[in-house]
Amino acid sequence: MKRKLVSDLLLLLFAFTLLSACSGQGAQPAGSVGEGGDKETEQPEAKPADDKPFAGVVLRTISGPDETGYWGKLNKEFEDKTGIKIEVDTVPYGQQQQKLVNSFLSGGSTYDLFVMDVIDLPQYVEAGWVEPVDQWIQEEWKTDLLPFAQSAVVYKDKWYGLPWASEWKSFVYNKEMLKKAGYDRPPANWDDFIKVSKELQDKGIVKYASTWSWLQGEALICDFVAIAASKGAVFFDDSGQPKFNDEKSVEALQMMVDMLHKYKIVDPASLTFSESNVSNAMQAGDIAFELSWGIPQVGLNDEKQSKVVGQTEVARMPYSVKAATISGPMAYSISSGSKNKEAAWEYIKFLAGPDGAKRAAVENGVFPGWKSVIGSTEVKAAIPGLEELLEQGETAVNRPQVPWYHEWSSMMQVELQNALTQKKSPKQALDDAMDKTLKLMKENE
Amino acid sequence: MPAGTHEPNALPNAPYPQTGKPPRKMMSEARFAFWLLLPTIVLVCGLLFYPFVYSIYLSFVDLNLTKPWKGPEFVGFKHFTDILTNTEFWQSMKVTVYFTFVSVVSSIAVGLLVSLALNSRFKLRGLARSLLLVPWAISGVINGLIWQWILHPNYGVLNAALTQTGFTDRYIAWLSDPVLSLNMVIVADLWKSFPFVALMYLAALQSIPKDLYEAAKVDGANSFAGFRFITLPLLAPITLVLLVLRTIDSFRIFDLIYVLTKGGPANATQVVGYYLYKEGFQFAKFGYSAAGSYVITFFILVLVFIYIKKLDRHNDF
Repeated sequence: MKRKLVSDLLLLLFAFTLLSACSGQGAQPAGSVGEGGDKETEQPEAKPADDKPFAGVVLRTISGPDETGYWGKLNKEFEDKTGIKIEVDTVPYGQQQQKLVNSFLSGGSTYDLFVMDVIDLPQYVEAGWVEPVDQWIQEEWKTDLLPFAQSAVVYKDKWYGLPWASEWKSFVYNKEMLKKAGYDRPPANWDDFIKVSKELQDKGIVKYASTWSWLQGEALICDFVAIAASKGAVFFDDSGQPKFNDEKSVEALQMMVDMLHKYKIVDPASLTFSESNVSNAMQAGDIAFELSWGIPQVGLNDEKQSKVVGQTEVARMPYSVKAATISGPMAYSISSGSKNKEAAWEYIKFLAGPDGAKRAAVENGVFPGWKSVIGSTEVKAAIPGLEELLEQGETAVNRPQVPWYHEWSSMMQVELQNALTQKKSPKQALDDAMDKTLKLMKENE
Repeated sequence: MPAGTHEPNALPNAPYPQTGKPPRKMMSEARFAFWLLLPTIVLVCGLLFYPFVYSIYLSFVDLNLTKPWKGPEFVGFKHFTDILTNTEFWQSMKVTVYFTFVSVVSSIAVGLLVSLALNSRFKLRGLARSLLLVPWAISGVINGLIWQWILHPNYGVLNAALTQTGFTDRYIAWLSDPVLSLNMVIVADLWKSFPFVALMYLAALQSIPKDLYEAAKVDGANSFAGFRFITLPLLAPITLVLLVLRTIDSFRIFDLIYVLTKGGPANATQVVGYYLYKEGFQFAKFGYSAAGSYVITFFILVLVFIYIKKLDRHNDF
């Protein structure tokens, strides 16, 4: 009887162990062939031809929805050319980063390639999740990279991918609406912006002159950094010490609060809006001003989705001290856990090298991070308002580049919204944010 | 030997004609039952027991997932002390308690009223009872998306309805104001949760004998007295069950917050479930998050204990 019990228990334990092993838990060392439940990258089965050394390799990547069909077309072309198949895990916008981090935590072999935001670079490098690619970087590329695009690619003198979607936010205005209000040029400073906004509303041209992406999310940080920089504020000084509760930052936040509650020139729904909501409002002709990523006029001049075709222009964002905007460059990178790093590099080169970047700019409106590409005649012809966009891009500032960025950003979003919802004064909110930042810095020393 | 004859020493009509002894079973009934249950036991162990034990382990270690060179460290009760001294945790607890209280009370009140209405006779009662289940059957995420559009500040149905009926002359940004947003999230939750309460009450109402009401009528009791002294006391046991289930449900609310507000504005709708998700899955602090989950479990158990004690005391009918 006792023997039977023991044998039953042993069988149970065996079955349980089998089930646990299938769960794919636990990190696997980079380069090893995992046996976990993660879908492994397939190895080539047959000996590939010499001109297609990676034929049969399957690379996995994670991406938002392929709305224009650009990716599908590109991946097919790449497969025909190299024999490498690209499998895309399509996830809703905003869920990419979290799924990616979870894949890193379970060994990093789930995805071979991924798009890395500038704010993620320090954390990914420090945690060893992203592969350095210096061995493959061509000498001429080092001088061809745009300075702010470089911040998403190079960290502590090492390259971690190639620039992809080297974007910043541009100030867009509806010239027809301004004309109706009696203005032939956009506001150059914040005082003018408030004055013109009020007039647009008083004359019944718009209900609210502008909408912003001030939800409790990363988009709020982007807008605040841009506005604070236009007031002359600096978030962290050269020695890495936070400075964002100084007079200039407080003034910037106070202005945002006043635009919402005192002048009432900003749609109060901004506190729940992300960038896409703002773009929709601009395209619907509900507002006269917006701050938008990338090449805004691609969407604004598309008759299928816009009611303001031909009515908008790009200009410098209004400023008080110096012209500024926010940058958000990204890189295409390789996971440290990838089993096919060389094949992955082939794909990155095809996609985000100077030739691929030129094609992405012309065919898909993706802003290139290479000087040579921006200077090319095809790109100049394909991007509407390129000169104005570039002028704005020269003033772009970055968000803090620290490994604990997401925790800092999450805290900062709440403090900024405390001020915007008038739960705290701007000074109090930024002072509290400063205390919490110092604590966070100490915890991460 | 002709066919059909049996051996001389075989007992006629014996239950085991071959040997006279019961045949040896391949395995005992208990053992057979065990093998039948094995797949379920394995699944329960793999999907419940193992994660449960692992989460206890997690609450006492720091995995240092973003600092892999450090490796896992045993930290004792640090996560528990950290969480209990964290102001953001207590702020999210306040939000959760408010959410739970208003959501549970309102869903029980609305559910009771609806069940009383559906218990009376009227045309299309069957259809009304079926339609009642629709919001309850919809998944939490879909419910969140529906309410996102209902509450949309510029194109939402609610603003359109209120302005067209003259209740207000301007559109309201429902989710931009900290106080308003939490209450609107509760409304969205109420829409999904009250049908379950109504259904349970309806079942309980149908089990109350009609004789009791007739006897009360003979004694001169009016409808309100019948409700007060017959219906309500007989609904007490199901109310206890509903209180426990709805409290646990509300305390764990996550999907609606994730879709509708992401905890904003200014953390006004950040319930404890969302806070722990953020710490665990966004900042990779799984140990801290696991410890927080046990703190919440403790609070829920205390609440359930209080409910049972309170309602048991009054359960003297």
